[in-house]
Amino acid sequence: MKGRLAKYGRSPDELKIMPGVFPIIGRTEEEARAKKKYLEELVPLQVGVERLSFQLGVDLSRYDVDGPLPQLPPVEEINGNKSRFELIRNMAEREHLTIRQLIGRVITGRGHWEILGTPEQIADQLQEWFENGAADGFNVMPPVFPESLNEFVELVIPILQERGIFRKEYEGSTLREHLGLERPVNQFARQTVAQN
Amino acid sequence: MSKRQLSLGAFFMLPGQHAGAWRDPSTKRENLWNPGYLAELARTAEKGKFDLIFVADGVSAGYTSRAFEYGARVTQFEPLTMFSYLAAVTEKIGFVATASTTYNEPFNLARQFASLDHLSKGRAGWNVVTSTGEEAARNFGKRDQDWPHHLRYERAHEFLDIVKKLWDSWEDDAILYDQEKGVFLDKRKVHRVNYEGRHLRSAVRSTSGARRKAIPSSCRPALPKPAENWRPEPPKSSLRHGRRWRKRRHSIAM
Repeated sequence: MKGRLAKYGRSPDELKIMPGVFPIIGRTEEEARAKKKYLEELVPLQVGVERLSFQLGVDLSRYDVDGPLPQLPPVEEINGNKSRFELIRNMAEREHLTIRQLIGRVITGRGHWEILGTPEQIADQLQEWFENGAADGFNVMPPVFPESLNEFVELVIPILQERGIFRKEYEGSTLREHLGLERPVNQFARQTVAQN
Repeated sequence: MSKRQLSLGAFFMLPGQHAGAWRDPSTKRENLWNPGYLAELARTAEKGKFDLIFVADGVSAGYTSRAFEYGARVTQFEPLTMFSYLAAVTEKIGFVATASTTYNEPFNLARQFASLDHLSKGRAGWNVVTSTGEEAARNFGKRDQDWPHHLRYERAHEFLDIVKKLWDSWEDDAILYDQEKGVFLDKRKVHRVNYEGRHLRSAVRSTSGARRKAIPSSCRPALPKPAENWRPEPPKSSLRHGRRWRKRRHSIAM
C-alpha cells in the first residue's frame, strides 16, 4: 500500500495504517479468556448464525453449526463488503473452523484482529506489529464501554508510554498534527501559482 | 529525532464493540443516549492521549433481521452531531466520523465536515464509506435501487473529488475583512467547483468559508506491509492474527 504512494508523489509517512484491534484484557491470561467466553455466551447462537450468513451471502441456518462452512459464492457475487467476506472466508479455511467457532470470531471482533491477555501481553503484540512495520498504529475497539476503554487507558497505554512508543502529552492540537500529517497545498492556490 | 510513535484511535460503539455487550450488567440503558456519559468517555480517551475517536455509521437499522430484535448496535448517535458536541467538551483529541457517499450529496457533507473542523479547531476527519442493501435504498426513497459494488465505488471517488475541491475552494486568504476599505473578500480566491462525473455533477461555490487547518489528504488503511523477514507468529495464547486487513475505505484528516 505504502509502496504505491511514490507514484502519486507522496512519501510513505503521508499514509497511516491503523487496523482495528479488539483487545480482551485480563489480570491473567485465564481471566481474559474467561471474559471472552462470557461475552460470547451473551449472544444467542441464532443471532450469530444470521450475522455470519449475511456476511458470507449464504443461509447458514440449514447447516450443522458444529460442521464446516458450506460452499461459498465467489467473491464477485458479493455485493456487500467484499473484503470482510474474504477475511472471514480465509480465516475459516486457514484455521479449519466450524460455523460455531467462526461465529465466536465474528461476534467478538467482527473479523478484526483480536488480542487477548494481560496488559503486558496486549502491549507486546501491538509493539511487535508496530515495530515490524505492519502498522503505524491501531484503532482500538473496546468490547464493553466504559469498562474496556478504562482498562486500556489505565493498564495498556502506560506500558506503551513507558516503552517510549506512545506520547505522554499531546504535542499538537489538530488531528493532522497528532497523526504527523502535513497540510496539503490547496489545489486552487496551486493553479493560481501555475498561472502566474 | 525522537522514536517513531504509535497512532491510536479509540473506536467508540455503545454499549460496546461486542454484540453481547448490552447484556453485561455494567452497561446501562440510560447511557445509550446520554450526552454526559459520552463526554465522560471522550475525556477518558483524551486522558489516554488517543489521537482520535472513531465512529462507524450505517444508514439502515437492519430491522428485518433477528439481530435487530436482539438489539446489537441498532441505534446510535449520528456521528457529525455527536462530534460537534464532543468538540465542546474536549480540547485535543481528533474526531473521525463515518459518512456515506452513496446517499449523501457532496455539497452537504463538505459543509458539515468543514463546520465540525471549525468547531473543533482542526480536529475533524472523515471515514469515507459506501452504503449497501435494499433497506438503505428504501430509507432514501430509492425502492429496489440497491447500488452494485463497482458503481458505489465509482460514485464514491467522484464524491471525494468534489468534496476535496469544495474544501479547497476558499483559499486561506480569501476573506480580507478590510473594515476600513469596506472589502470583505477577494472574489478571485473563492473558486467555483466545476465537475462533470458519471454520477455527480457540480457547479457550485462552497458556503463554508476558509477552513482552519483543514484541506484533506486521503489515506486508505489497507494491506500492511511487514518487514521482509518478519511474519506474524502463529496464534499464541489463542490469539489470532488477521494476516491481511483490507479495508475499502478512505479516512481523511481534514
